[in-house]
Amino acid sequence: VTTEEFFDILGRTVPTDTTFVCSLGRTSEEAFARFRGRTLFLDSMGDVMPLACGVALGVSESHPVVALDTDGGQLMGLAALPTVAQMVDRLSNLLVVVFDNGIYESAGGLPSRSCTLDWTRLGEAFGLSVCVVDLPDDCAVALASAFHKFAILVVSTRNGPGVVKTNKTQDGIESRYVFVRHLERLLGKTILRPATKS
Amino acid sequence: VSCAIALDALLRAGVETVVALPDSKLSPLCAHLMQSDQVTYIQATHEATAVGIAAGLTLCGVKSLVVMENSGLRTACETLARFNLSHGLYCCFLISHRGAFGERNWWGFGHHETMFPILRMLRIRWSHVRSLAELPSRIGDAYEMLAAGQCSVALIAESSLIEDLRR
Repeated sequence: VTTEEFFDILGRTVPTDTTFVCSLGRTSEEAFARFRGRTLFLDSMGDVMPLACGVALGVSESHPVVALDTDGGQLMGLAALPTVAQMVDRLSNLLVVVFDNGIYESAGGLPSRSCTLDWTRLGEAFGLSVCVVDLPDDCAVALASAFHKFAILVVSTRNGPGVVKTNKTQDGIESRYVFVRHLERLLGKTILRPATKS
Repeated sequence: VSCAIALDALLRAGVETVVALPDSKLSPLCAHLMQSDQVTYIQATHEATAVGIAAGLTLCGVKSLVVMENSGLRTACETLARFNLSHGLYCCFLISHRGAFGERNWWGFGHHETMFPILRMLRIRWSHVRSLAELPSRIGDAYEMLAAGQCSVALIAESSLIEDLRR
């Protein structure tokens, strides 16, 4: 499956009020094209899943949250797995998607690892269920069962050659403001009140 | 009793979740928070994970506190730099001051040497807390400052506060 194909399936499958926390590169460009008003774009490899956990806990279990991470990002943040594993009972509203293209695409396309990597067994080591998919139909099936319990979905992506166009117009600061305004609408409360006197 | 007073100060400030990587100085407080049903206690295995979870909660308007040793600033430095300097993602810390004046352990000296430069570089505002009596007002001030949305905020737990927490 290509990243674009997966995002098409994702857009058709998840609830319209789904909140996203997104990694960088091609993943963020696809998310920006579709979900920009309800996505935190995080230019910080290794931090997408922990931050998405905080958001999922903060919005309560009735609101779905999707973390959109990359293989490089997950591998950089493996230390988060035991912490996430102890919280899974409170994270039924969180789906972690890992786009595994096997390369550092934004950095020029060199491999993200030169060893074998069994994502399923990696998750099992911490008691986490990890589903690996590489066909569009399997992606749709996996997404249809999301948000009943915490899940990690590894999507084997092959996007072919070519440079990813940079169309995203938000920096980290603007993304934070847009994201918090989304959360305020979602939760029906004011979160940012930067001053208390006029 | 002293840890119960500290917990009460957190609750009065509206803290709902503590994300901690316990160290020898703050572990009595962490143990107390872990057993409390008044605050959600999450124990992390890496300070960057704790920062990520706390920053996510803060985005949602949930008051959270990261509890860690000052060496955790170094461990989580990349995450903190990205969050604080590039994204405006902030959180509140209670940080033990390992390596403070009187430190008896050789390995603690570097923790002190690096703490303040890192706090300054990452634009984290801080205040020292030297006693349990000071804690409630300092925590209140910390969350008021965090609510302005301009920086992360750290409370530096000095040895005298640590002694109070052990009583």
